[in-house]
Amino acid sequence: MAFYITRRLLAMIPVLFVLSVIVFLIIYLIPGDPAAVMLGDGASPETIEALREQMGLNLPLLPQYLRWIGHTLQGELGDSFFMRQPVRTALAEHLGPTFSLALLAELIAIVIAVPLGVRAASRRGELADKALTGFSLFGITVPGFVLSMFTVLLFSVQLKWLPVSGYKPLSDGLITHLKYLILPALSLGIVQAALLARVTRSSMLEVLNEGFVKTALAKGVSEQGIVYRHVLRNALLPILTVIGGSFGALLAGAAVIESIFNIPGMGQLLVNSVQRRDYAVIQGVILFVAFAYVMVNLAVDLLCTIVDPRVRLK
Amino acid sequence: MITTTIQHRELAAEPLLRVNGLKKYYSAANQAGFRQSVVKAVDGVSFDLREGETYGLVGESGCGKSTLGKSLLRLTEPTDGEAFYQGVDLFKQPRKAFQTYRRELQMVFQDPFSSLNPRQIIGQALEEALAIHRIGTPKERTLHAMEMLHTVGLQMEHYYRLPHELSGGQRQRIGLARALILNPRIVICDEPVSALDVIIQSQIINLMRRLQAELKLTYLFIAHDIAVVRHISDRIGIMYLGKLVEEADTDSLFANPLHPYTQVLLSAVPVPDPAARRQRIILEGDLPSPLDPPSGCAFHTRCPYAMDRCRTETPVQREASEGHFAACHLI
Amino acid sequence: MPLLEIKADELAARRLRLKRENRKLFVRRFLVNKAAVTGSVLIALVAAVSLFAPWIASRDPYAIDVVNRLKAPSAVYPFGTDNFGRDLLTRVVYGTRMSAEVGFAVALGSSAIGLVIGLYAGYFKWLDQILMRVMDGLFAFPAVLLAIAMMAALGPSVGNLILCLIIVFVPSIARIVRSSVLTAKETTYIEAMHTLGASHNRIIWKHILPGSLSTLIVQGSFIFAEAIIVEAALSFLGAGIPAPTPSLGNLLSDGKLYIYNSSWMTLFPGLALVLVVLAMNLFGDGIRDLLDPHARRSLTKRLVQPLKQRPAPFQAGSAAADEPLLQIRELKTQLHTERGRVPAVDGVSFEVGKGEVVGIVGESGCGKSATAQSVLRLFDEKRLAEYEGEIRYNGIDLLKLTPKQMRSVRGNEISMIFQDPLSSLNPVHTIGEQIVETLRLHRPIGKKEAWTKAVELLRLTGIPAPERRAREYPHQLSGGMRQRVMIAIALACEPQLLIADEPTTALDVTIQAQILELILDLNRRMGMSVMLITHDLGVVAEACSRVVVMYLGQVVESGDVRTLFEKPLHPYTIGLMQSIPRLDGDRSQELAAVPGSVPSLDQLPQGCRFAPRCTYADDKCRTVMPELAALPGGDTLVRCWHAGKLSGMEA
Repeated sequence: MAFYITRRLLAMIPVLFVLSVIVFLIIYLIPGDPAAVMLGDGASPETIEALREQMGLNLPLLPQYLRWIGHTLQGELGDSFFMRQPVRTALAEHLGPTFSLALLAELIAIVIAVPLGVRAASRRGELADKALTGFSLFGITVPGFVLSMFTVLLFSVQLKWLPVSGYKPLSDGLITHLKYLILPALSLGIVQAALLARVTRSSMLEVLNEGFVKTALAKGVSEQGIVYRHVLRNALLPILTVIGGSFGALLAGAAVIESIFNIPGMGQLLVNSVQRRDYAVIQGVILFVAFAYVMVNLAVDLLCTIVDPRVRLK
Repeated sequence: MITTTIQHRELAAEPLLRVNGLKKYYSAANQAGFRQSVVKAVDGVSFDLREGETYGLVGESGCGKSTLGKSLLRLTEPTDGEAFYQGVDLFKQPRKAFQTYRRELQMVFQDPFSSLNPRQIIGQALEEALAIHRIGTPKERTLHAMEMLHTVGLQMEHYYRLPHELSGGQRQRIGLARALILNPRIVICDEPVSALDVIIQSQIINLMRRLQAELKLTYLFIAHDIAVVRHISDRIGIMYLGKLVEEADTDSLFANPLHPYTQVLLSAVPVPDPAARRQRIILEGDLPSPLDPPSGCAFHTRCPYAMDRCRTETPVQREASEGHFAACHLI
Repeated sequence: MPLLEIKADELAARRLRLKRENRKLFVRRFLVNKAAVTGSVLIALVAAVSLFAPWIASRDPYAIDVVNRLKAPSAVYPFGTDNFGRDLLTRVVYGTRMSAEVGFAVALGSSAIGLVIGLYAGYFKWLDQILMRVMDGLFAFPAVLLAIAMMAALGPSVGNLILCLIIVFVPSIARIVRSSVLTAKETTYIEAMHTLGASHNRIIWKHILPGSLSTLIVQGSFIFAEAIIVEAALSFLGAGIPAPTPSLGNLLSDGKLYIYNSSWMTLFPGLALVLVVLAMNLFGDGIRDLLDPHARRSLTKRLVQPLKQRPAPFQAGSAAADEPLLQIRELKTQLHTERGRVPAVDGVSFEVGKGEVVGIVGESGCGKSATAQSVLRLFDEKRLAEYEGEIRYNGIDLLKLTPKQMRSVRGNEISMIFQDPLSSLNPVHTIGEQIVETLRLHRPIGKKEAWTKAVELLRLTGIPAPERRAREYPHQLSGGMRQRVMIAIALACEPQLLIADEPTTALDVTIQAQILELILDLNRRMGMSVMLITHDLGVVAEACSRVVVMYLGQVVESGDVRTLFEKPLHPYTIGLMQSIPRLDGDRSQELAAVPGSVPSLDQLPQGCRFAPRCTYADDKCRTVMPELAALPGGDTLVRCWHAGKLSGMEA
């Protein structure tokens, strides 16, 4: 087991390496001089040169990369040009809201999708199945931010049940915290649920075709027993994999949602930095998000080994 | 004009194919993923194929017989060994040069369904073989394909069918046709009838015998059903865990099986005769895994006659009588 | 060969006709597929709007008219105006066109590049390592974030956006193509191409690509939709298409600030976006179903009515001492398949006595497996199977039981083991757990006691070190041991009848012998009857006391095993016996094969079903179905008009 974890961690390294190279190179996509772009038209050549020195842009490519990766590995991500604080601090401050949002959205998605998918698979062709098809089509068609605007129109503007935007941290009380998060999390979660429901259903259907289902039938197991004791656990693997794989999309959706609802999370941080061309922050956020994505997938992998003994034991 | 019949060849003194010490090892990832363990799928097999004969290769799962067939055609590159054909070591040929030999050594596969491209009509599948080797004009290829269909007992209508429109037996006939359309001298048959029903099996076996006589083919017939192998083979080799444990002409093998494994194998086959009193030797335990083969003689863990020597020393092929070899310390 | 040429031309004409018919069939299937049709209609709509934009919306999308700002929808401004007084209808139309263009360009570009990468990465292992590392690295990035970052660097413009999005989506296409290539490489026909000497490129482009094309088209449609969404999100955030160029994302961004009072600014662009995306998603869905009909229409078992309680103990009727344990009378099982109703079992009758081993033998499609599954009513009765006739077990007709009662029969009175022991065992439960489940289903027994019993059963079936094995998982055991486990599960509740469906077919011959010995041993010791289904006449001869021969859903001969082998009566049985190569037969003779092959169950011949292949068939055979009857002076039942006269033919 420990071997397996070590091996997976080692396998992550090339991926993380490629990631770091891509993030590093983003600066180089900029036509012209990044420092000049950041400072704007009115900057003097001296100021630009000073910034270039500070950013290390005058070094050749490879040393620059090594310098950058060296700093990054030590947790030194540079300073935000516009916020006058280390990138590290900015990231830490903005982490909380995004984490709550993503977690809540994922929970909503799982709670909706898995039971729906299981039901649709065991009652094929009937109402639950058709509902799922419609629901999943809805989910992949209506983008999260469009859905969120429609829900705001309904729940905040018309019904006035929930606040339109804003964010209250957990320290202000759980109910308040949730009141501000529920609409954004719902928009994100429903889109996620649509995908997940589909995967759940098709995974269940595939497992239902396996031989051991017939054996269980021949033993006299009831339908419930077959679905929940035999099929579901086997169907779990692809579902877990998709949860991990779509986590990235969830974070991306969160970025957009945060700007609609004015939630001070990573997404908003990123968007603002993009608009201001605050490259250090952009790099920091992207790197962090990608790293988080890789870690989540690792966690999912490990979860898979618990669920499926074939992976665990050879 | 393309001829389908091969001119009669003199039975040469030299074997058509001489295989020496063929080895195929795979490295399998271990549980930890770090230490690599080696699967010795084929572990030093040597035999000859004489022109015009059928050599039957028999063994259970994991014995390496299929791997051996694939290695001979370099569908998977052998780890070691030589295969002399017309004086040339096939394994030493660079891949480009080896392509020309592909016309002479062909293969018939086990699964009649997946061995045909589901999107290609039968006629095109046959013609493709000719197209790859640039034989004839397109019109000539079509005619040749149609002749081939006839040779294997199908109608010209079948030229335009797709594989899923044919039955298993018909598809296997196509498999044969495709292998034979290039006029090969050696055909390696990898479990060609195992996936077919009993009655169709017999049809295909009859067809293969007829074609062998007509086209002067040499077969390497790989199978696990020893009764089928007996019916079609002139000589038989028995494989166990990557090694050839016994080899003899068919009648001698059945009259006097020398290796204990051969004896067990023969006694295990269910006989379709309720009155027969069979002295069955039931083995204890399972086939050892090729990942972790026993030391010395691979069969010693299940052999009813195992001695101490068998555990430590690997037996070599010894000739017990004319043309009858066995790898066992009891000989 | 002029005769051959004429035939060739004639056949070519026939083939052309067939192609035309296939095309018509495809069009018909297309029209029936609601998703594909709706999707196509919507796509056509979007395409029309895009192409004819200047005529549909005659106003200038950039014309600012501050006087008329934020006007609600009216006759003059069908969609209203925005905060700069620009006509929203015009802006939406041009925005839709922009989305369509971006979507199309991205779908095309990423498909083309992803296809080439996927094909070569899937085919050449060394290339795979390099390429897929890069692809995985890119794939690790959430699409929107990567696009944001790239756009931030490159600067907002339509060209940059398309480039960005192509880079973002190439990995997902490459992955999908690559996995379809990997699957294709495993198939035997690709191996066959190698043996023929085909070059790598020939194999990739001629043989592997066509298989991946359908996946590509489906995936391309979904990428089209996703690209539009991502573009909208980016433009919404100001990182995509720069204002004032109309894009649905921009419009939504504009509308965000005025959502309370001028909700039309959000509503119409939102609806337009949903429409375009929906069009592509529906189309993609529809095409996927069309190109892979088996995925949808494959029948899955919908299970019997759920009942929450523990099954009530089944009161087995006590049959009279000399009455057979199992009596099947005129059993008919109709299965609903893609090709309609198929009579898998068509009037089958036979018996299994107490302690007897009865062999059911026949080739594929004869209905032996279907008969076995019918006894335990394993088929989905809501969607798949209909039964007729009687199956009397200890005097009680199983076909008349309620689902709950049937469940108390299964695994308890009558057990079944299947052909492939690997796929028949649940991979995530331990061996012990699987045996315990059966015990606790039918007996009031505690977990600990059940576990002890399970270990005992493993010992009984000859598994060494059963305590350790009980804690292991199926994949850790060999094929032979797994089959022993199946038998242990089947024996747990001491059934009176064991149905064994090809229990040794998937096993090596030395293991086969062991398992057969075990089954016979259990039959002798426990007095358990066995219904042994097989295609191997050798197994029948060794193990069974009586034999039932089946062909195309019917019994054609049944009787005592010795009589059957010494003097087979039905031409099919005779043919079967003569086809088998025997270890003591004459090698120089050809096997006496029966001509032709088994017709499919939806094309049954009239009269005797074996007549088309039978050398002795006459007109009566071809028109009238013979009955299963005994010959005078014998016990064997046979279904043939000429049975008596043929008894001169020896096996």
